[in-house]
Amino acid sequence: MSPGDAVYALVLDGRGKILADVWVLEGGDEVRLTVPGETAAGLQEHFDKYIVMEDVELTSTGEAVLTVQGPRAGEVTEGAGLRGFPCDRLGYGGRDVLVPVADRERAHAALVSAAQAVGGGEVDEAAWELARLRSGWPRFGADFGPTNYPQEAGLKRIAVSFEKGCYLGQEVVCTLESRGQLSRHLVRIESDHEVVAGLDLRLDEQVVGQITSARRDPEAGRTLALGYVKRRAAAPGTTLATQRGECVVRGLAEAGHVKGGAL
Amino acid sequence: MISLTTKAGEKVKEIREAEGLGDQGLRVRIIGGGCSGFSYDLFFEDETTELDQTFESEGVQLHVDMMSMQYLEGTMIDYVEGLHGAGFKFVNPKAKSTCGCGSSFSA
Repeated sequence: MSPGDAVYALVLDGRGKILADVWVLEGGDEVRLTVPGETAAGLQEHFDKYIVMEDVELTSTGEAVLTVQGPRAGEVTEGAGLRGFPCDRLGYGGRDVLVPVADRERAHAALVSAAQAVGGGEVDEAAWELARLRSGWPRFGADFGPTNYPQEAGLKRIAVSFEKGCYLGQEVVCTLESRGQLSRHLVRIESDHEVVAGLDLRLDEQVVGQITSARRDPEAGRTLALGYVKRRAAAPGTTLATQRGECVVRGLAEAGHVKGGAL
Repeated sequence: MISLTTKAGEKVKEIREAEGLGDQGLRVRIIGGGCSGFSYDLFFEDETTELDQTFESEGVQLHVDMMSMQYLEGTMIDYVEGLHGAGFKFVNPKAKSTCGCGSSFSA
């Protein structure tokens, strides 16, 4: 990596299961990791365990992370006078900005102003979720976590390299890829009904999975969702039943499969 | 302490002589990384610090830093040759599991 680069990655345990997703930001003088807030303390302990005599120091910077997503994210961060790392979180292009907590309000205002100047603006969590589900982009804590392999969570394309050297959990991930078959898949689901996260998915009256994320798309007039289903229920076009009505599998969820297009 | 098998000791001396390293000792250490979390590292060295312990086994000085020693106590280093290749093998009572090739372990 070169200074200014950013890479999306996963932290795995020895069994190949996902402990967290992270963005690795190359700052030149140091490397930063932006991680889900709820995982920070556990990750620090996890990484500390593997620092033996290496000249490495791991500290929490306490910085705030602001993200701009969309094809003009670079213009927005430049317009705000802030340095952004290329972190595409939804498949449309994006930039993450790290600032000291004391500067967060100022940076936030500058980014909102710059976004409005190019026809964008601030979004709330509901809008973010909708954009994410339109992309079929899984989220840590909702759609994947410590019980999932990268491949079943649709993260192989953007987060796994099969050409790099040893990493914790590699044997399982590589064996799964070369010899195994996933028993379940994260899939994109659509429904005319108001399905919600936590609902069981049934095929031929048998539970074959569960919805993990869902949001009504007012423009499409449908509910967009992600959920895990058994392999036999993952084919596009499969109709599944829930307590709130039927839904249809549209395909595998795969982060990074959407490029371009409008949010 | 840690030790070498007779075969490992012979191999170390053979390599040392081939590289013209005289009586240099062997640094044995643990580094973070590898598919099970920790990996073994071996290289010739005679520089030591107050953080090191030194053992003599099969006529070879083995230098181990105190952090690595936590993971290496009781380890025996062997040298094996077979159809799948040759190399130093670590028999480590502290290892909970090892990867398929034996170069990485969990503790």
